[in-house]
Amino acid sequence: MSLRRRATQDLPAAFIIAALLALLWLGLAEGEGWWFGGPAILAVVLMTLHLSPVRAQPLHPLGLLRFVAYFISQSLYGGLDVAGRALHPRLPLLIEKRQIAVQLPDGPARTVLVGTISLLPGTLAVDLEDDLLTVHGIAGDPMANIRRLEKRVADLFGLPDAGMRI
Amino acid sequence: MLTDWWTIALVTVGCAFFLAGTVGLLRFPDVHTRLHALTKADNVGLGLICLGLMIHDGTLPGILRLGFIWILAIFAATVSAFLIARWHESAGTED
Repeated sequence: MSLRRRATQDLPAAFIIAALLALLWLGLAEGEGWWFGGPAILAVVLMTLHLSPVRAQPLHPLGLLRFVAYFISQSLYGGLDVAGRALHPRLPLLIEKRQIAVQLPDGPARTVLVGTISLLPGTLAVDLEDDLLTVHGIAGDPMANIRRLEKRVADLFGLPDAGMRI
Repeated sequence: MLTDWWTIALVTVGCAFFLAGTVGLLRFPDVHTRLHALTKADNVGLGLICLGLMIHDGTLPGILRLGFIWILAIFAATVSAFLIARWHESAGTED
């Protein structure tokens, strides 16, 4: 791929990385020292695009919004659920371990899936080998929860989920 | 001030989640169930504490800092939980 083509393809990703770094600088330096922060951000963006082995994947804005809302509400529910179980006198745990075939394509989508599984109610990511995900569950229906999360992650990256078995 | 009460309420509830997560760490029977308690309860606990402190701070840089703290901490929590769970699985150690 020519350098010019790569540059135009990566432009949206470059803007997003630059925006996030600018927010971080604003937070850490309290809005001062942009003469240093600005060039540093530019250098980091260029280096990231040059060195990253992963192709930047565009996020779907509506999918992102829905994913964040889902993540926050489910995090709260998951925290309440596990706190309730920990404090319950009889310690009610429905322990099960399942292997599930992941339907999302390899790459960032899978990373997000495995990263969020452990923060959502009743599920913990244990292992991912090729397409086979091992999940440990203590509550609810882990299979159904993972399938729902997969659909949200597919939305996040604007991937079609028509072929996915739900 | 009303905002102070919001801060007090959110930080208190956040601490309660940390307490519940610690109780889970002590009471749950094995490595995997303990990881459930730590990742989920601490995610919510830290989120609520950061939210409470954001209200208290009220400046843009402060709010951004607290937001980054929460996001980076849950990144670290979920990645380390996955690595510990996988290590435990492959090591096949007794609980």
